[in-house]
Amino acid sequence: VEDLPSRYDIDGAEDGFDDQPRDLPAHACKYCGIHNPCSVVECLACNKWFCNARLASTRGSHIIQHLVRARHKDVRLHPESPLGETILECYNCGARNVFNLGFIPAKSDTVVVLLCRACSNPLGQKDASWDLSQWLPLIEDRSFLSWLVKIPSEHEQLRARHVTPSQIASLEDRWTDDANATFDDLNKPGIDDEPEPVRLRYDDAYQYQNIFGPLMKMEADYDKRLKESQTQDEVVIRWDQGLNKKRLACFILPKLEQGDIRLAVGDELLLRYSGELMKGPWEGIGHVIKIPNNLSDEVVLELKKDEKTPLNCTHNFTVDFVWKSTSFDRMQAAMKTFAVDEHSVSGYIYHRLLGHDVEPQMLKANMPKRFTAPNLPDLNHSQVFAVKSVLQKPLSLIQGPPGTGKTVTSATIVYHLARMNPGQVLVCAPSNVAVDQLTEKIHQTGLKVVRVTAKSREALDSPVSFLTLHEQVINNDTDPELQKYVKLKRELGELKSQDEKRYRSLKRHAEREILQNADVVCCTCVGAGDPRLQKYEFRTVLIDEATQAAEPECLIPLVLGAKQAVLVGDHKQLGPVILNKKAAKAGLSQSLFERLVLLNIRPIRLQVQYRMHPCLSEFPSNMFYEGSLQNGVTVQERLRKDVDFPWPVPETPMCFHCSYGQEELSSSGTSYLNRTEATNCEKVVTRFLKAGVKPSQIGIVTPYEGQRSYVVNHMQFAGALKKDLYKEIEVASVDAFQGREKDYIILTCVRSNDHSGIGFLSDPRRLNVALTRAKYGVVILGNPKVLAKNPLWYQLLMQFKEKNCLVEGPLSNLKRSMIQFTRPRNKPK
Amino acid sequence: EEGEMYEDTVVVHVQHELDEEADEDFEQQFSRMMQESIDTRRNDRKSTFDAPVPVRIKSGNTAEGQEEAGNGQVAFTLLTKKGNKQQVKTMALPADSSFVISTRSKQEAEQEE
Ligand SMILES: [Zn+2]
Ligand SMILES: [Zn+2]
Ligand SMILES: [Zn+2]
Repeated sequence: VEDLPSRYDIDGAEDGFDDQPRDLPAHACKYCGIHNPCSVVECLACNKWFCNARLASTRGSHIIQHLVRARHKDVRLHPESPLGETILECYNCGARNVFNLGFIPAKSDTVVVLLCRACSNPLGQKDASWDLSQWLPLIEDRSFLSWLVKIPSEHEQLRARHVTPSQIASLEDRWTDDANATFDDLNKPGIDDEPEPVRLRYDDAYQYQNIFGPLMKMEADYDKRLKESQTQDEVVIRWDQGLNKKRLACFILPKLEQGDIRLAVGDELLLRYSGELMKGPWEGIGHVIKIPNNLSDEVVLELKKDEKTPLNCTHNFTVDFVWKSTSFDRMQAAMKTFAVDEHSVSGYIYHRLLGHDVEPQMLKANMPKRFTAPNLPDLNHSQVFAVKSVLQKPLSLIQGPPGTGKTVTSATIVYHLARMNPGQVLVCAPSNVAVDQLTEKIHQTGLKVVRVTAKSREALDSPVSFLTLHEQVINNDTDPELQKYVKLKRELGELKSQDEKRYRSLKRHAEREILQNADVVCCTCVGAGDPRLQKYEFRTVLIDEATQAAEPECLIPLVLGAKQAVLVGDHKQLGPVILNKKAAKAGLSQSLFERLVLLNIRPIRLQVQYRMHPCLSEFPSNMFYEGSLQNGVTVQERLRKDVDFPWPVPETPMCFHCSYGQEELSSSGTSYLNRTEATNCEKVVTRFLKAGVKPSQIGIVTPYEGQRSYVVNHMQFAGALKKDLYKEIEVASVDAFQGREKDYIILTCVRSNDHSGIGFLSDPRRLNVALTRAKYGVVILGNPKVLAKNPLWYQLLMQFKEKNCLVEGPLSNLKRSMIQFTRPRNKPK
Repeated sequence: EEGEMYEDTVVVHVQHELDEEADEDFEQQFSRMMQESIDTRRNDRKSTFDAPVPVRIKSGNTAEGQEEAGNGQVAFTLLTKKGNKQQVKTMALPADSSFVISTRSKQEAEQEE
């Protein structure tokens, strides 16, 4: 082998590629092996080298692929590259994140420097030597600028290892466990095997556990890795104190906004200080009691202990996410109980859940004479039918399409079940919001309801606070001794250990009493695994939003003794969120509800919708509900004549506004957003506001986080009216809007690119959710050419066109779009 | 092996379903990464870059005096720091890149003033 450096040639006359892959130097691209020093850079986080080649199918050069997938950001050029060994960093502040770096030229010389975005803000400039307005990002079109890091020649690329995007993804995945793994390791048997997929039917609960157990473990591991890798540096703290005298730390977490991490109230965070203002390092654990909302971006953390808290320090804190296995543990435990405890569910439910054929069973039920529950609205025909059939069956599914009164129906069912069956009814849903809503409705019927929340959520204010178990304990005036301790604890913050012991035992006693006297116990599915509930048997269980829970999650409430179970949901809307792609693909993202539907348990469908203007329900009804959705509201009830908005057809408040602005690529540094649509969005919003629509009645929906934050900022920056008005408008992802409604919805589709797909929007369930949030009107902003390539969107666009609601041009002068669509090849399912 | 190098190679890449997924995934992560980077800037309270162009580079490197590096390339001086020490490096930019074109035209306009 020749002396390596002599082979490198900056002009690319020689390819610098070694024919014997075994002899690749350390600086060879870890993906493809290219090792021309002019074409590779070193990732400073992992000390691996990558090239700047874009191979046939991958988007983005190898180095960018790596930085993005590994979430690394700092790089160094090769010593033998034209610039020599150079760490790419901001000349002014030393920041190294290459996604924030760009060149700026001097005004009168051919001199350039690298500056980060923050340092190149032209607004603060006094000296005019540099032309900050010319800032040129280092990363262009998902690779490094070719004159900084040479794109390998075609010849080099042909001779290099051809790696596919999925191979890159698996290798990166492997590196998180084994930094030295190579492509060859990927082909070794056994390691990368696909997990065993879920089935429709299972022999027994052991087989069930053997399949779901590993899938859930994969998901847990992934979640853990994701959470624990998320450290946020340079956090600025504002110290505060809660009403309960606990120490509060308030701060902003940028990572949250990118959707990188999902933070929920009750999550644990670790706060660390290692700055110079204190002698030793300090750390404190707390749980989140507030997450960012429209009014404030702050996260509020309640510290468990207030010892040596560095209240005099505000800067240089670090926040780590503490992963908790509780919910996963409870799912695993539920599966185990399902397998080993024959009393966990009734025989009938056991076999039904496993997909066995069993004789249909009817329960002997003393049917109520009146189906409407006290203080709840009268039920319509299909709701009465649902209630009636559920009461007599041991296992039933209710499908509630958007706006069909799912919560009222569920509450009514619970009311009757609580009166008909012995013991308490257990009412669950995957999300706290849904549980709270249902709790409130059930409370209205006059039943005795207890809402059990996680300990970490106790400090939280909710509309049903007074129904929570801990509040009921505190407000329980039958036990003066307990009252005394409650008062002491409130005043002192903490009790002496002797007193604490006594207090706890009294509290447990009170809890037991309250639970035993209740008619209904409400909690999240995971909450049903709370130790305080494990001694009880719940033979009647209702699970709302059941289509948004993973199977093992649904099992937690069921294995507390279910003999009669009702699952409520809609499998045509978004399903459970599974982060691990492999686990999702193996079927973990299929809900129990969905599987039961596949097993021919027919869901009882609620058929009358009370939300949308009839023109808005037409497409979803035809596309997702076999045309069965009826309108419980009339056109007249859903027309707001007082709102002056230029609907193309006044009595049909829907509009698809065509725009052809590109989705943004990296050249401007902001990716996946669409400025044209954001601009149009602001105009539509302004028009609505001027017409008298309240900000809280408008929702902006977008599938992309980039667009979400861009639209928020753009409205603040460019909004024609008072800035505060725009602040109150909710801008969120489709997923965040599931289960909710607004008067007017603006959907900005973002995707506008000739080559790539339409991403998130191609999921019919997401489209269904996006289209069914509005009561009075929908405005869709998008590129019809790109969207129409998708069969479902083609149908949607055709409908808008036929109704003369497909338009273009300024709001003040909308014109019908004459665009012609060609039917995409494959038909929608 | 010799022959292989001169073959008229046509690389037909059949994109696998998994690859499409991986691409889509990359796109999402890329967009997040960008967004995150942009957003971290919001928290920064850094001062805008305001330094003068060092005099010693200034001489003989004005718009007129700039060297053509050949092959349609223009030599620019890159100012870097190693520790606190200033360093200058030469970097060749393509003459037809919009960065070079607009920098040049602005400089010319500046000089006419
Ligand atoms: Zn790396
Ligand atoms: Zn490479
Ligand atoms: Zn900087």
